[in-house]
Amino acid sequence: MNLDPYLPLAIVLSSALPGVLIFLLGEESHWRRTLLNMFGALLKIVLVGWMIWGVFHGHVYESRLTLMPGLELVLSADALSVLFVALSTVLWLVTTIYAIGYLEHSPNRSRFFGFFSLCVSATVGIALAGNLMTFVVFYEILTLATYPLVAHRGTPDADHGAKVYLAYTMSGGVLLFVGAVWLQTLVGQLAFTQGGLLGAAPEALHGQFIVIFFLLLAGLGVKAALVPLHGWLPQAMVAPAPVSALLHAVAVVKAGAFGIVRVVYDVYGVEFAHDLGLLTVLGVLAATTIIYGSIKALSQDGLKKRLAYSTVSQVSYIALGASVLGPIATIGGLVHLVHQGIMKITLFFCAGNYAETLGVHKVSEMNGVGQRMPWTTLAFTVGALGMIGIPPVAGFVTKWYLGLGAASAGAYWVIGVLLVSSLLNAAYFLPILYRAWFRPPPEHWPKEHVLSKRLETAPSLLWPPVVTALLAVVAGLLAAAPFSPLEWATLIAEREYGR
Amino acid sequence: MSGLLLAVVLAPLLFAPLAVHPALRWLVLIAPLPALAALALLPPDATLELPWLLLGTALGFDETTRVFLLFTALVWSLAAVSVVERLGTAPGTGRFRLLFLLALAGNLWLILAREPVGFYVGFALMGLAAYGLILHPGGLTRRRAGRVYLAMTLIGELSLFVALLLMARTQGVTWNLPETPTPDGAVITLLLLGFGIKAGLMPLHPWLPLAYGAAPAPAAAVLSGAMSKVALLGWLRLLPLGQVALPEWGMLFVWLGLVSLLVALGVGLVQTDPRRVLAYSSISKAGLFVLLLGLLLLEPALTPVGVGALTLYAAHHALVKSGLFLGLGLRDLDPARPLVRAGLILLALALAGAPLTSGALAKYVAKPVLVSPGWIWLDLALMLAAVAAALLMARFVWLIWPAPGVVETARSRTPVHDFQEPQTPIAPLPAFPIWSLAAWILLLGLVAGFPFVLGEPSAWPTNAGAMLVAGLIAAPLALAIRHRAPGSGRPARQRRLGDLAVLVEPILTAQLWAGRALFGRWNATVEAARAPLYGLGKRVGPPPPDPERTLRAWPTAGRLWLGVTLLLLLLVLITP
Repeated sequence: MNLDPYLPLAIVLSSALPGVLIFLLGEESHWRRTLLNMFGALLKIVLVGWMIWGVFHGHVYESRLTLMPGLELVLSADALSVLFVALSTVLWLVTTIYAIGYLEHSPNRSRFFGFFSLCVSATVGIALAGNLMTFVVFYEILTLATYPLVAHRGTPDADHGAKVYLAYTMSGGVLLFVGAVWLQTLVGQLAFTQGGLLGAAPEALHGQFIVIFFLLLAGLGVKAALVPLHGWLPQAMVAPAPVSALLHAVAVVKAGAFGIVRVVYDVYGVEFAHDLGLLTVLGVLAATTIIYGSIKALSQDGLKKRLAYSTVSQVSYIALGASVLGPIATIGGLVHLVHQGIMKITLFFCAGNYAETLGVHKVSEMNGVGQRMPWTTLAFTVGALGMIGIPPVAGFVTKWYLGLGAASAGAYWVIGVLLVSSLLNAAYFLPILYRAWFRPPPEHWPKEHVLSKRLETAPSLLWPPVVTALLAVVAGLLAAAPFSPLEWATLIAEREYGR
Repeated sequence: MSGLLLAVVLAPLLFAPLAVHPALRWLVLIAPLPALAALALLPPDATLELPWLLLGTALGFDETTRVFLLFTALVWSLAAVSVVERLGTAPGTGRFRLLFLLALAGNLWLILAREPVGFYVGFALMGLAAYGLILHPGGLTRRRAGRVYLAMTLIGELSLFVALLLMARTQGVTWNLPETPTPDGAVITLLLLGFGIKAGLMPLHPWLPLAYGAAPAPAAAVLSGAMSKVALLGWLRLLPLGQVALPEWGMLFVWLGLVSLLVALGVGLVQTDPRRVLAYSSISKAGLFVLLLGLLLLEPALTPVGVGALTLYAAHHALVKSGLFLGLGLRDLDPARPLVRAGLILLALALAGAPLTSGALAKYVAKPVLVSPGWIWLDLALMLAAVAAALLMARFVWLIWPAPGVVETARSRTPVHDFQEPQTPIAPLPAFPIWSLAAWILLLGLVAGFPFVLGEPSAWPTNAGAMLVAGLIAAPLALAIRHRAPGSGRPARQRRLGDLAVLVEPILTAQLWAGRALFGRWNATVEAARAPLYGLGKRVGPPPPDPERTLRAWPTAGRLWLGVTLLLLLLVLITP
């Protein structure tokens, strides 16, 4: 019996079903909830591992559901989907462990984990989407599933942040939907094809294609936090740390960036987009976002706000990679999907640790935190150095490929953007490291909880950032080894450019 | 056996986190040993390919690298003795040892690297780790020195990054050093900028006097001895030497080198801190290196001689400079004071290039390149530089010589410092640090033996003329000033001459202030624009109470949702 058509569906359901079941559990059934979560996460890892092996050997996995003639929900796996799915799956497992520890003694945990699981299924659905309509459907499910997470705490700030989030993402969703439907009326059902399929369409439609691109970009740009659509991101920092980690590393922001990559490569085709002049616009937007995000991050004292603006800036590297024509820049942008995810999630985990263990929410309160929590601060240091682009952490590999791709394509201004943003990153990350490691700690921390007798904080809070920091270093050190993110991104680029 | 090459880099990396613990601080001593072992045991062309590491790494030797590795390992080993013994177990020394070993690992990696990415990784690691070395053990002066150092190092690293990117564009993603690449103006400029900052070429030098003045003795020794030579190695590897003559670039290098060579000597003569005198001496030597490189670019046929001369000069300078800094750190040892002073004078003579010293040998080997274009003005400038260098060293000796009539004890010696704040003592002085002294004497022996082992007798009398002239200028001056009774005359003013960073800082502060004002304005505008949008929500208000309220309760809604979804799924599955 051929199980191939059911694999993508199974991967989506492997977190959706536990999510639904968790809703039905009472608040007190702590063990059953943890069991369901871990079971779902581990099952997903096994299935995704199977899929990676299969895609590497050229198998085709496709689940198809005809809703009505002309509208099909298609879940299919190609090399690019697998990149995002693998990232989501691994980081979901780590974040689940972290969230279990973080929300210890918090109310409404069943509600939280239920929506958490739905959020991940929506992300995986986005990754595996085989055509634009499926993508849009799961994109909207993601919006709805993440709203309760942002509003989880129930405080007036949380409500406000969630409302802003919803306003931005729903407006974006509408634009995306209009764009997708318009495109479908012009060229029919749009499966994502490597190399894009709009290049073959008649010349008369090109004007409409350009407008549609802007609509799609606006819709995707909200989630991807392109300036000026990024306003929701710093406001959404009121969410608990696991949510910030998930939103900023895996689900929402990456979904937007992933969508942009899909549209440029698998709907329009990168050469066609270049001919229409769309890549230049994307490049300018991405560059503006990178610089603007970094400058805003300089002036933030709140740690999570600073990391939020850093995310705004860093995710646009992916768009920047997509906007330069040439395989090397493509590789740089794609591999940054993974690298930025791992590094940012480390930083947010550490921020959550500082908040939970010491009550430290601001950079100015972080004096001497390296003495009190050395492992967490070490993980933070690794993440920060990666963001700046210091080897051998993974961020260096991205910058190398982006820079090399830009030099090969003759787009030297991109190198300038990389330089300026590296300096700005150094300007807002290195002072944090200085404070943490070289200043003496204060007499009393703002609100210290002793969460563990032997370790600096609870194990479920300590291990996730250490593991992801290690992954960030390994992803950089072993970048040339088989099955590294870089090798996978190279595979995608090869298949995309048809070489 | 080539695995030993990997151990050279891996040993300090792995020992670094362990050496934080005070009981394990002896690991610092054995960390440079694999490097010396590799030099002794491995064949001269050993290589190790690691295609799975980073973007594909390779480590290996060649003639130049072996010499660099030798003197680098020596400098680090001897400084390590001081780190373990003198810095001891005071708070913050764990962090110092960690960064010391990380910087060592970076330094060794970049020397052994046979491709650009590995070189860059080592360079970045070394540069960043050294920041923490300058900062120890704290204080305003050191923080400022550290800030200037870090800012300039980052700019240097990014310049090197872009230079390597541009080179990789023509040669694919990775390539093997040191096949000299085709010359490209942008690349040469970036290399000049990036490595010039590291070497301390004027006008990229402001961080150097600050850092050398602030860092503790072992850190200053490795900074000046080993780390600044990295720039020379980078230039030797990456500049298009020995291929085609580049007249404009060659002249540019010559002029830049000459400016550094002469101006630094001048500025150094008026310093009041012996460490800053040494710093300016380093800057002037960096100028000499760039001058030699420029002459090689003008006359590619001289490249083998030139590269050999530069390497020898680098080895001599590394040993002598680090010896001087280590010696300055040993100045306050009671019974050994005259010995230390004598050793410092010997090293100063070597640095000035007195006959029979390593400096003279290095000058002798470099002579063919220096006289190659046959320009009179160059020869005159070099003669002037030789005299000035000797005078500079005389100034140095003057500064370390105790004032007449003052009895020195370990307590009464107030270290010379830049600001009026007392310099934080490095550690409560332990029992007599015999090992640091022994290591330093070993270094003296190496420096003394250098010319006799490596040079020919014809090299010995080099520079005799320059030294004579310098002596004739300096001796009467010294005697004249000495004759003033102790206590008369003005008290020595603390001077910060030549600190160019002072010029830049107000500009940066003004920029920061302007940026904040602008952004404050921008933020206010954005908030004002957003406020009506948020206000819209409030105006709509909550919906009126209605009978649908029970339907909106979660359990009802949830059950309805589940029920409807199941129904839809059933319908979809049943319909053909």
